[in-house]
Amino acid sequence: MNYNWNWGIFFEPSPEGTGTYADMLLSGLVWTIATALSSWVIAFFLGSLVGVMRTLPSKAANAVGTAYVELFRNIPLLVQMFLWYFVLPEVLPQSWGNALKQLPNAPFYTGVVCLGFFTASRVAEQVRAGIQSLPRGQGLAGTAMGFTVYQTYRYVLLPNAYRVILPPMTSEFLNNLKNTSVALTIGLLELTARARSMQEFSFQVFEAFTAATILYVLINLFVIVLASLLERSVAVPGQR
Amino acid sequence: MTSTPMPAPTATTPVAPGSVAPSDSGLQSGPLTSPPPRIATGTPMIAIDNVSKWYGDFQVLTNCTTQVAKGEVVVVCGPSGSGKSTLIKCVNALEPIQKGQITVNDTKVVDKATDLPKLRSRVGMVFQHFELFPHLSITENLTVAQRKVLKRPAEEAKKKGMDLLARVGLSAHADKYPGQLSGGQQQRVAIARALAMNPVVMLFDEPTSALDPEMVGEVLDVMVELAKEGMTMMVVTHEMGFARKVADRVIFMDRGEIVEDARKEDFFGQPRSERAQQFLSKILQH
Repeated sequence: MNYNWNWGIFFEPSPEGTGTYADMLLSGLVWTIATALSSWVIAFFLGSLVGVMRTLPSKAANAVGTAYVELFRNIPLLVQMFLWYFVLPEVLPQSWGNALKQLPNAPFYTGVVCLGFFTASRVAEQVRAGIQSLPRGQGLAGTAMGFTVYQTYRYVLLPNAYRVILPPMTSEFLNNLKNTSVALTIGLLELTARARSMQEFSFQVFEAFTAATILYVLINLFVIVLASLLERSVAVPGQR
Repeated sequence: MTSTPMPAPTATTPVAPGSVAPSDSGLQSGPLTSPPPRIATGTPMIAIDNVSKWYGDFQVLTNCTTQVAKGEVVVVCGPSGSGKSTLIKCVNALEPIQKGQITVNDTKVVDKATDLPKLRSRVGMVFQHFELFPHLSITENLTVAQRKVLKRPAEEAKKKGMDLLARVGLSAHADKYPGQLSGGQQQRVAIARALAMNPVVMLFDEPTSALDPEMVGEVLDVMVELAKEGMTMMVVTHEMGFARKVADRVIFMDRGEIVEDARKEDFFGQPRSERAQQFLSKILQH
């Protein structure tokens, strides 16, 4: 292989004129983290709501929840990105569409919403599985004490269900973080996009993607450490 | 053992004169379900009126009718699958019924206008598998519904919870979690948790059948105490010793029907239905 290794490339100024290649990658990392955290907020709350809906006795709530999950988990994430970014502004009333197109940081907001809605469908299934894994008597006990449906979920079912699903939810969070890279296709300058532009400017493809890989792995390991600390702090004494 | 005559009812359980069992223990004619003895006057605490329930096409309860008077202890027994747990869960509307009516303390259970959470908060329920909330400490288990449902101030709720915990003899375990207690201890906490809501009725759904044998006694002791204090209780159980000791009446169910509804003395002395006789001979032969 005829390749000129140059690990010093990170400290050379980037053609953007405002810093080195390392700065460029780090700014990408910041966008990756911002996108991952913002979309997770949507995914967590919307996903929990949809997951709860699928465990309610109401047929209507069930149907809405099921429709949501099947819609958002059965379309490829990449296609969803394109639908939100390129198709949605065209099918909305023209003034709304124009407002969307002129939004500053449109790729960021679109990426956050798209990823949030996509991951929510997966979170919903985890939450549903968590609730359904609890003994049926738990819900009955809450109900029998006079809790409303909301209170039964709030004080009995969800605190236990979230504990059960903490490990797979960690996986969902990591997936969500890595899926931010798909948003490069709608122009979000996150870590993978920055690595690609570094490669195109400098032709140092191995260095660029080695750095991106290491950054992704490090941040995911950090998340895993946090998750295991969280798992320990919410563990219930005397269980399992 | 089956033929041991029962001791006379204690003073707290007066018996209406009209419902004394016939002295002839031979084959009875007429309906097997005797009319429930009227022990207390006025409206009953629980009135179950012609209740039927289906799971899809399968009928689990057929025209069940009975009453529980204030201060009365009624034991519901029967083979598994006879609908006794289902019946007791219908009383606080944990299970919906398709036909009939249930009235608890003058409140209709089958009525759109009824505030079911409020009704349930006055009906204590104890489950086979305890169903303490595993993520909450014993103290929190005892107080959460007091605070969130009855809106009691935290201090008052805690005091009430601690008093009841002392009554079931578990004060030392206030800060533990359910998973750190034995089954018998958990069930005693569950009884205290139900009592913390100041219930007018207590429902017990096989409270001892998930317990190791050596723990059954401690739970039954608490229930006997409760019965002596005049609590209205409806108890699904196979503990015939408990039934003999504190029950006023025994309801025997089979295949979703109330087959026999009799005063304890009559039930153990001369059950009139063949099915109840078979059931008793099976569970009392050891």
